[in-house]
Amino acid sequence: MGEIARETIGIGLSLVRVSGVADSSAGPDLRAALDDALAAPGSSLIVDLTEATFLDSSMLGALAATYQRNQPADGGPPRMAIACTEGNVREMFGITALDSLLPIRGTVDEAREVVGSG
Amino acid sequence: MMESAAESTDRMPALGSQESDVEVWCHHGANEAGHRAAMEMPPDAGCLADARRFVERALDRTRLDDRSRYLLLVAVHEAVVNAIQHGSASGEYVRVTSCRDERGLSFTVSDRGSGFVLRPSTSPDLQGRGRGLTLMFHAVDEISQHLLPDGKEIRMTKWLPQGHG
Repeated sequence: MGEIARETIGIGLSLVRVSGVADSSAGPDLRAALDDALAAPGSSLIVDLTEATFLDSSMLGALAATYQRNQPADGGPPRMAIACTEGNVREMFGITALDSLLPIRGTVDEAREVVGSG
Repeated sequence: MMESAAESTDRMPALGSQESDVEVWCHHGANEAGHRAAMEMPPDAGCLADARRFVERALDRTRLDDRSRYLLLVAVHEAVVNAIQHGSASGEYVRVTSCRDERGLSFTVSDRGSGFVLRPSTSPDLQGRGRGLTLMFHAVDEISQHLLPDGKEIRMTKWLPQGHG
């Protein structure tokens, strides 16, 4: 099974790394990690899926809901971005059209530029 | 798990037994017409990995490319998740079958739930529902719902070229 780990990589910037298989059984852990990372005002988050091998619709839903809940009201840069390399997992976002709604980049460094902090 | 050209049965508890919530029952059979296998699992998200392993074993009997394998794996997984969440309210087992024949590779997922509108999401948004159905529709060539006397069955088929695997 997969692993979900959170670390701080900058001032107010967290990285939640999802590796291996992330299905609905991992939902509570993922949602808790996402909420914790964005709990502080002004904080931002990168979700690293570059080592995820399987992602289901419940995980997609958790990511989409977190992003929507935390969109800045002032039109500033998004508080959350996703790093995901091209491949099967990335295609899940394309099939569900979430790739046009969420900021997804190929690497953590590229995702870091999106949230513009840390 | 055991394999044979004829039939094999793996980890077989009393069907429908609720004594253990991690027991998964599998049965495999093969003849000249193709290969069939079935498993039953409790409605427990902790058993989703067993369902995926079952699907992977069926996929191993084909020469589908990695992408098609992955999409099929996701599709059956999503159907099982739906069955667990909406079709097994009283703890009834979920049944998954695979059938490899001259037409292609088919999977069914059956549960005790009532039918629903089998349609992918058409208006994607961040709050969207139905993403699982969207993934299922994308992965297969045919998908249908069949009402059963005691529940329903989702059937998904991926066509395989003649002589494929």
